[in-house]
Amino acid sequence: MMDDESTRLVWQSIAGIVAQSPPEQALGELREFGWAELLLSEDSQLATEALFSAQGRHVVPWTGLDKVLLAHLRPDDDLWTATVVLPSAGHDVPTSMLSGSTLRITGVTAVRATRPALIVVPALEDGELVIASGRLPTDGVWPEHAGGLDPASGWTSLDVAIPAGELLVTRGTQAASAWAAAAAAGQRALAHELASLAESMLELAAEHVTSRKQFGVPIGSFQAVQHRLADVKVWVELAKLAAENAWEESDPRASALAKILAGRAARTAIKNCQQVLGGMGFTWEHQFHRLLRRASVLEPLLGGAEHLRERVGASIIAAGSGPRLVML
Amino acid sequence: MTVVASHESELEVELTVDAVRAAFRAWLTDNAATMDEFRSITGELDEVFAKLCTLQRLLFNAGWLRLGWPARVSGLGGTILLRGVIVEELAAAGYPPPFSFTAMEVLAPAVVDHATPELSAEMIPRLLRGDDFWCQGFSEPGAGSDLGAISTRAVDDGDNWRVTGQKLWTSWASYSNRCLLIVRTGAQDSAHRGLTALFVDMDTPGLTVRPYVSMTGDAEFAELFFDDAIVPKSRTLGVVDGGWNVAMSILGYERGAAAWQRQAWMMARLNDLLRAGKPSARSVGETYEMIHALRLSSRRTMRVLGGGAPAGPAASIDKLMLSTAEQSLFDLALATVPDVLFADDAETQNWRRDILYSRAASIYGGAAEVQRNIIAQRLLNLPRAR
Repeated sequence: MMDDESTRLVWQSIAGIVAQSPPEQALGELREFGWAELLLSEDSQLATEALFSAQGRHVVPWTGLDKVLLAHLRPDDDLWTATVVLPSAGHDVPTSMLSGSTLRITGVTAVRATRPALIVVPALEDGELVIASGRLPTDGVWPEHAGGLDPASGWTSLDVAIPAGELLVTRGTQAASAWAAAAAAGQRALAHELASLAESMLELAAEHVTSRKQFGVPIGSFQAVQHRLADVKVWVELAKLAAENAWEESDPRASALAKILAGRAARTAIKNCQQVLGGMGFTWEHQFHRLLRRASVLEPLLGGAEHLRERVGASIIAAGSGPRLVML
Repeated sequence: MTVVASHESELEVELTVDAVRAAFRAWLTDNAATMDEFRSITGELDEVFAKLCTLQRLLFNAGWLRLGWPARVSGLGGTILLRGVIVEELAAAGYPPPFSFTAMEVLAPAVVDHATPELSAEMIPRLLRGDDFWCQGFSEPGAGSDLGAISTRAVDDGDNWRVTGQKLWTSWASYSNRCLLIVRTGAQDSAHRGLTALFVDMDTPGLTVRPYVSMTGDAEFAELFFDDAIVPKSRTLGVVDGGWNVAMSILGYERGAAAWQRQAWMMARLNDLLRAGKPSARSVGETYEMIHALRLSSRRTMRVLGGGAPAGPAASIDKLMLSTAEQSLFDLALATVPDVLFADDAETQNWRRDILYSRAASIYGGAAEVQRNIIAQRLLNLPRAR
């Protein structure tokens, strides 16, 4: 593990790349920096936290999220030329289907300037979890543009069928445990990014209510305004603690809980910060809507908060007791 | 230093969280037969308290309740984290918190911090052992959320203070023999600067206790009337006119460490609820989320306190989470076991009491609104109202 000084330098370097690189070069610079090696090392928490906190802070038009999943699904392949198809928005289990000679790819994926050399598709085959990977057919099945609420997020949905004959398919417990680890890692990364987005919204709102005067006083001196932002602060702090905690637990539910609490922080920030920003926060010019869009499209990835609450709750009911996490 | 020879324990354990946890779990297993009578305690308050007192003495004599306290108050050493482990493992094994657990985490640490060494060496062991029970005299008819408006006066009379005034909302005062009292020693307009903390015996002449009943039906609260009650100056906690610091340190412990106790109990009650009925998966997930959030913030505060620092304004997050989690849990109970609302049996009495008591969680120890003010003004630095 790294000492404090090296950790600080890594944070700084990754934050610098995210803040300053032109979008089309950012992943290349991360590659050069050795981010993938860091991600695959015992310092994967540092790699994840530093990158996704910065992604949230700078609302960049690209993402490293697929790399985080690939590190668990295909750790021996080149992460930089491969990508993964996530389950459709709102789902934490694969929505792609493998049957016979066809892989029906249904999900969301990151749009890149260059077509990926390798795609990895978690899917279901007769209800069993499998990981299919291989080259893309040469015809134009791959999306070239992102759209939707936040085209700058780099995420787009996908629904295509490709021949399965040439694909490598992993089955059984190996596939299931690889997917469980990949999904948990992705949830942790998203938790860091959502917490950071919520914190950015809070900073914008706190600055606004401190400088904006009405009735002769800053509007932030009104208790109704203070309490809205106090609630955002509470959930932002808890989301950050939960994301940190998820790294110390072996129980994947800690990662789901981190994403649940980050989703709560993001939703509370969207609602309360927007309200106190007033009309100004509703203009195209104000940057708030960029944060709102990004948080809104990331929240349902790998299972939205409501869906994950149900999952965690069902597992607690099945076990008859809650897991013992967050030990002293 | 007071050495309590007859209660010297045989307990030998390395003072780390993991070692204490393992040793206490093993002890609970070995002593399951002795401990069985404490598993479910119901009945009249007097009987309940007597039983909880027995449980406390048992744990003290075995040494467990001396962990996390310094030797000068008959403790076995180690930090507050060890106390957190004991309370948590006790709850996880299905036992109720002993009699004085709240006073131990809320009032006792502040007494250790602020009392003279002689006073804390005398009083802390009596509290831990279950010989004494303490209450807290803060609120007044005119000073609730605005603690700086306290008007109960202590007048300097040589070696003594003469105390006159009224306190209320004092929980379990009729069961207590000591009270941690905040009084005004400065001018009436000295606000938070003119307050002093005193450690008062409940049998002091001139002190009258009038119990009143809370909405749970228990005679939980009391009004305290002080009419020229004489309190020796040796019972002053901290410096004269420094009572605000003592009060803030108590509120810090209450919002921080006592919240850790409370979450351990909530976790056990959630598991009880899973046995009692069939809650929906979504709502179990959400209630667990809230308790998880409380554990996260409370653990952070426990670590800060364990490092010897004050809890600080971040502990207001803990207190808000405490009430949010507790109300989420007992709202879930309402939805899951509605039959208990129509029953009168002793077995389901705890559900009715806990459901009602949960409504107080966002009021006592600093109302939720006060916590949000603190978070807005001290964590977010938003401007204060003029």
